Amino acid sequence: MRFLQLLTKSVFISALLLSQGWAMDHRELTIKAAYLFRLSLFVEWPPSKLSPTGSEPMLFCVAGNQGMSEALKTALADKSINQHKIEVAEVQLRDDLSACHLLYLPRHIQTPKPFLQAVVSHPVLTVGETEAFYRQGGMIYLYNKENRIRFAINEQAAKKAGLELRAQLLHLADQPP
Amino acid sequence: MKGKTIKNLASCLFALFSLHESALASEQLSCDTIAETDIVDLDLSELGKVPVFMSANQKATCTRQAAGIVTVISGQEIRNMGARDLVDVLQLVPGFSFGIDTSNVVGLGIRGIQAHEGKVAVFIDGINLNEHRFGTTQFGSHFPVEQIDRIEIIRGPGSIIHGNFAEMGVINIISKTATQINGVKVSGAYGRFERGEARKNMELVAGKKWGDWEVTLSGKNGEAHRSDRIYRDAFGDSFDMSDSNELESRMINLDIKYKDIDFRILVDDYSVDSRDGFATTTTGPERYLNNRFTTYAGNLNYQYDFTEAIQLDLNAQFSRQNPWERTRKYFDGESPLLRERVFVDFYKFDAKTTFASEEGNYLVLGNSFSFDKFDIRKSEDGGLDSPLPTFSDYTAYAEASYAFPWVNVLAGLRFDAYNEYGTNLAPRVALTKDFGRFHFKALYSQAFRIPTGGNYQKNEEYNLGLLEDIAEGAPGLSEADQIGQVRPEKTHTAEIELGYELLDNLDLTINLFDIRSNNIILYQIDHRLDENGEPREADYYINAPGQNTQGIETGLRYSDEDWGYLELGYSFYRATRNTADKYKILNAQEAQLHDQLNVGFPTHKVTFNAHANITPSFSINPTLMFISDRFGYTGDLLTHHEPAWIANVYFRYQNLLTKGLEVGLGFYDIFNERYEYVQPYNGGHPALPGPSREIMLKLSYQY
Repeated sequence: MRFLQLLTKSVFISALLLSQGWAMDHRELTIKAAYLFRLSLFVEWPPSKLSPTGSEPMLFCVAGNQGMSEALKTALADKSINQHKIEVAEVQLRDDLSACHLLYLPRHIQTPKPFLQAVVSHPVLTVGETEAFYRQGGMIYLYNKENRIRFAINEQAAKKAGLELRAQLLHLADQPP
Repeated sequence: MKGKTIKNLASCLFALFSLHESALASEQLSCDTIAETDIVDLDLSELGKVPVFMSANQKATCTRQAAGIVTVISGQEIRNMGARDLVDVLQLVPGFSFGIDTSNVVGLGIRGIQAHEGKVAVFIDGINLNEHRFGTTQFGSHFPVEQIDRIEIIRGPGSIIHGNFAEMGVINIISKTATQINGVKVSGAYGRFERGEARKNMELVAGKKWGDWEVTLSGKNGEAHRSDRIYRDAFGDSFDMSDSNELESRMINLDIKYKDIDFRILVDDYSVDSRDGFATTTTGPERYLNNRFTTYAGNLNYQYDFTEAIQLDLNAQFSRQNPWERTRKYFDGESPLLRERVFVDFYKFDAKTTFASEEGNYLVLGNSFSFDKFDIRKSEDGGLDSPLPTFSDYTAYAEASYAFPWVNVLAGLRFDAYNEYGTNLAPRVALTKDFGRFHFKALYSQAFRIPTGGNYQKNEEYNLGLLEDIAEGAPGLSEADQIGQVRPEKTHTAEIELGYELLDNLDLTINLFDIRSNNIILYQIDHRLDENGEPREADYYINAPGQNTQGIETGLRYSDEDWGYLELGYSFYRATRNTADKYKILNAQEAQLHDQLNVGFPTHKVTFNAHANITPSFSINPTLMFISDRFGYTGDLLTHHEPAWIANVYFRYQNLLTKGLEVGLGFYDIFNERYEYVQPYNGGHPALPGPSREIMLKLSYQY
């Protein structure tokens, strides 16, 4: 009887260990939220998109994950960039993505192309976490290297969208893995 | 970066070495969280250096200054495992073990030593919730979990930082800040045993920040049953716990913060019904006993930065407690009978200054004054009718740390002057170092347990009763049988921690400990005859020569950014000296069966805790605990308790259907092992049945 119980317990644990999925640790999310905030400080949006003297909110859009957008909201509460208070919104492909100043595509967005196409002609800073995102024209690629978050920049894509990236940002960027 | 480094260091140090607990609540041992909350303030070049997963080494760089063996459990982990209360959480901590004290009150033991009565300090946001009469903290559907940001646990001596009640360990429960909450969360849980209701809890967490103002409010209202099984006393009488032994808890925690001023109010009302009785026998079938523990506490803290490296910290605390208020209640509606009511008012004032250098060296100097004032409103028949003295303590303390190239050296000294118990000087020394993937800590600390007003009262009452019995002609007694007051207990603890980061996200930690306690304060019951030759029991406290334990604790943690985490823990202890029969395993012939075991404690404990994300919203969270066999007593009869496997699994679904809605379904004690709380001393109380197989549904909504 004891052996059976042990066996059951072992199977029970093994099954759980084998279960795979994806999610983001809270700490990791905080680091990425910090990146979104800090990266934005080195980006200039066209005045038509973001008035240099105005105080309209700056919209950080997060594609498709409620938990993540909530966590970003918490991490970026009370943060602002040049008088523009940061607002975080969760968005879907069907939404008007051109209203975003920054569009963040977490790594569970495995097909980023439709999102990138939706903002291709708009000054929207795109930040993503997959190689496909970077290859398909995403602007800032966040990736994990040796337990640290690094970023790579596709300057051409940003220029094409009318965004100006400051030299310091380009200097701090890494080569994509 | 330079200024930030000093400020962070200063924050850590304030917290780590402050003797007032409010700073502990906000920052102590919290490098992990300080780092997390400060991450957003780091610039881009610094962000690239922040590790995603904190390894033991990295945590050690934060916690090593604490010069203690530390476990940090995040609120997220607590909610992932579907913890019904803190018992579920603390049972996973190496070396921690729960046992029955008396009358359905369950307390904590650490590393083979009964810590329930004044040897483990429990704080919520800096407010000490040990009742100051005997020093106990009661567990079981007591503390809310929804508001918890993290629990920081010192699995060893903490007296030099935390004062009395921290001789064997410290549990700091730290609530979320207003920014973290940023809204309102309501939560409800309902659990059922196979034979009745297990629990129904409602919790509320609210918080908001407006400019420099931050306000948080959390609360709990809960009812639970300890078990649904049959309790049988030493004489064979029994009752059904599914209808009895209720636990009720209500707690309110309000914090208002303006810049560097922090004011907190906490109200705790915990009520324990019991039919299991004080020791060997149950109460009569017509009645039960209610023990109620209330705390009304306030805490005011102010920090002032002279410079980024010099900080002044001021703190004032007050609490009014009414612990162990005993009321006999009747099932037939007869008026309740108040048996005992004692109020304890606690005041504490603390001031300290910290000097920190950019290199990480620091000096803390401080002093505090505190006193406990007792008000016996209603004593037991024949109890003390004269007031107790006020117990005061003046403390001066200093701690310094210097980082040599090959080792960090920390030395601390605490001096206490008690009005009733003389003076005490307690040192601690720590050598710590982080070598990349490897870290070590070598620690020595003295710790102490000062007798409480309750100890004093019991011994006064013992002598009073003795003199009355002598005056009334009780046989075989003399005035020479009077006892003195107990003296402080002292403990010397040596610990070593070795940690190695096997992979970037796989950490192994091993701790060795050696605890040597002298003059241990021991509860005794004297059986004598009164003037009519009838048996009469009188309880009191003595100092026994000592108790030592040694052991090892290991922890292995694996984190994966994709699927979750997995933790494995193991702890072992052995008794190396035991001069108190109450803790020995003695058979009917009073022969000691095991000289390396203490009553109520398992030699081995293995824990497993995992979190597996199936989707971004849905996770499966199994926990498993193995507890080796234990010995206890039923009356004078030694009892053996088989090893137990406790398996739980919690399914958590966040943002179900709508944003902020969370549903959890938990299955507890899946194999129906029916864990029992064994009394960790020979008090004659049979093991108390704990929760058996349970299913619990939890709903919460945040907006």
